[in-house]
Formats: sequence, C-alpha cells, structure tokens
Amino acid sequence: MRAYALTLSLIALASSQAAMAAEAACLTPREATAVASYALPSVIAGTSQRCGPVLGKDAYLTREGMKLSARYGPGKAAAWPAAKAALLKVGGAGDMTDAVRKLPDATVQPLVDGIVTSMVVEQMPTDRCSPIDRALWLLSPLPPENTAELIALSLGLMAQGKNPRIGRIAICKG
Amino acid sequence: MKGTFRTAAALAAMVSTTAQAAEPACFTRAEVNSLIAYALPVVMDPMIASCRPHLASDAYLLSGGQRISEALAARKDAEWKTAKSAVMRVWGGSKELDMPDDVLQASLNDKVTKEIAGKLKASECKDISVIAAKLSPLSPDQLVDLAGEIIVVALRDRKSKAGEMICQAN
Repeated sequence: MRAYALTLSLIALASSQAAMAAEAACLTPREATAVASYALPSVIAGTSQRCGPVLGKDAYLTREGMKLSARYGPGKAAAWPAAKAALLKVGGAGDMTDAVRKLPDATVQPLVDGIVTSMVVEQMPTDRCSPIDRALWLLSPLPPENTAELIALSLGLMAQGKNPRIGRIAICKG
Repeated sequence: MKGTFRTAAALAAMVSTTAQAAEPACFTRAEVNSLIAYALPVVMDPMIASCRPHLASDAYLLSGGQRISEALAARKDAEWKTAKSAVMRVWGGSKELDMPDDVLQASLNDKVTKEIAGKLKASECKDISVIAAKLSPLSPDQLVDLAGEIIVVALRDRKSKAGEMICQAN
C-alpha cells in the first residue's frame, strides 16, 4: 500500500512536490517517447475498458482493443529503464521519489500499469472514444516499433514549437 | 501534410467565399478524403523533386513516396470530380473555376510546385522521408484515411472558419 501511494504520487503528480517538479522539469523527446512506449499498452487497455460500453460491440476497440494492447506489450521491457528514469525526473528530488527509486522494478511496474489504466478508465472523456477508436483502427496495421518511432518524431517536432508540453509535463525545447 | 494544406488553400484561393451554397456548406469525411487523395500526389511530386538533392539515393521518400504518389495519381480523375464538386458546394463558384478541368488542374499543379520547389530544408526532407517510411505498412487508402481523420479531428471542433468547413456529423 505504501508503495502504491508513493508510486501514485510520482506518476499522477498528485503531491505538490511532484506537481511543482513537473512544472520545473522537462522531458526530452526521447524521455517522453520512452514513457509513451511503456505506457501505451496500459493506455490502450484503459481506453478499451472505458470506451467499450460507449462504442458498442462492433467498434474496433471493443473487438480488438485488448489484443492491440497485448501486441504493444513486448516493447515495454525495453522502454522501462528510460521510462522509469524519466518518471523519476518528473517526480523531482525528495523523499517520496527516493523511496520509489529504491523499490524493485517488479513492484513498481504493475503499480504504474494499474495507475495508468485506472487513470484512463476514470478520467478520459467519453466523447473522445469515437475518434480514438478510429485512430487506433487506422494505425493498427503499423508494427508497434513504427508507432513508437512516429511518437518520437512527433515529439521531436513538437519540441521545436512554442512552450511544448503534454498536459502538465513540459517537453524540453529542441 | 503542410503541403497538402497548401494545395487545399490554393484550391480555395481560386474560389469566391461569397456565394451561398444550397446544400450543407461543409465537407463530409468522404470529401475530405477525396481532397487529400487528389492533393497528395500534387504535393508529393514537387516535394520529392525538391528533396532529391538533400536525401540519400535509397531514402524512402524517393522510392516508396513515389509509389504512393503514382498509386494515388492513377485515380486522380475520380478524386478530382468529388473534390471539385465539394469545393464548389462549400466555397461557392468563381470565374477562376469556370475553366476546363485540365487547365484548372495544371494551374493548381503550377501554384503548388512554385510554393514547394526549392523551399524544403534538408532536415525537413529527412523528417518527411522518415515519417513516410514509418507509415509505409499502410496502403495508400489507409494513408488517406489516416490523414483525413487527423484533419477532421483537428479542425472539426474549432470555433473558426476552418472548423465550420468540417461537417459535425463526421
């Protein structure tokens, strides 16, 4: 439970320390890509759970969402070290971050996965389900590594813009 | 993608915005896709020519990009018909559009080529080629659908003229 609380504070930036750090720190496009690559299977799984009842049984996410999530699963292990470092960076310096840093990966990973999935399930507006369903269906022929590289390229291009950020997390300017 | 917008803008520049359309003055998803399917080869040919000096001879854009352009160009007559009639309906007619299709198409190609030729930097060409390579498992139809989806989602809910041009039912 303690680990869950610590990880929650890091990932969801629930604590003021983490929120302040998120304002101050920025992730490079490479770091943000690692986080995205690691989180994608959980995000897809959460989106499938959230949107399935809204979209109905014929929707792509309802039929194939969990399979798509599983297809992206093998990339998680490779992305984890950089994703973890990036998440700790966003968490900033402090006791909580230090404590999470010391936890074994086998403890932190399932918690991160669960938090990401439940955040999507609880917070994603359902009016986005339909466009996300179409986008995932259109992107589904791509191998996961191509999707990850497209995310990296998009983040790299985004980093050249004005005040690049994803939510509260700033992307370092390129 | 910027080039595709340029083509659409060039097409838009040829028409009056004052005429009132009897039918809904917005583009359906199918019409957006036709505009993209027509515009992509129009944009890609000068883009490939412009990027050729900046890219290695085996760069994806020079081979795969050319194949996509040719595949879409093979059906440009059908796409043109849908795209032009949609533009006429949404933006109204004008003197500039009142000319034979082949002359109008040549004029459009000329405008887009002038807009793109020699203006792409080496880094932009490299990015375009890498993005095209990563999207290469998609068929030309899937590529058009994906570009259409991005444009519809990006514009549909905007409180602007561009947003109003996309039908809400999309």
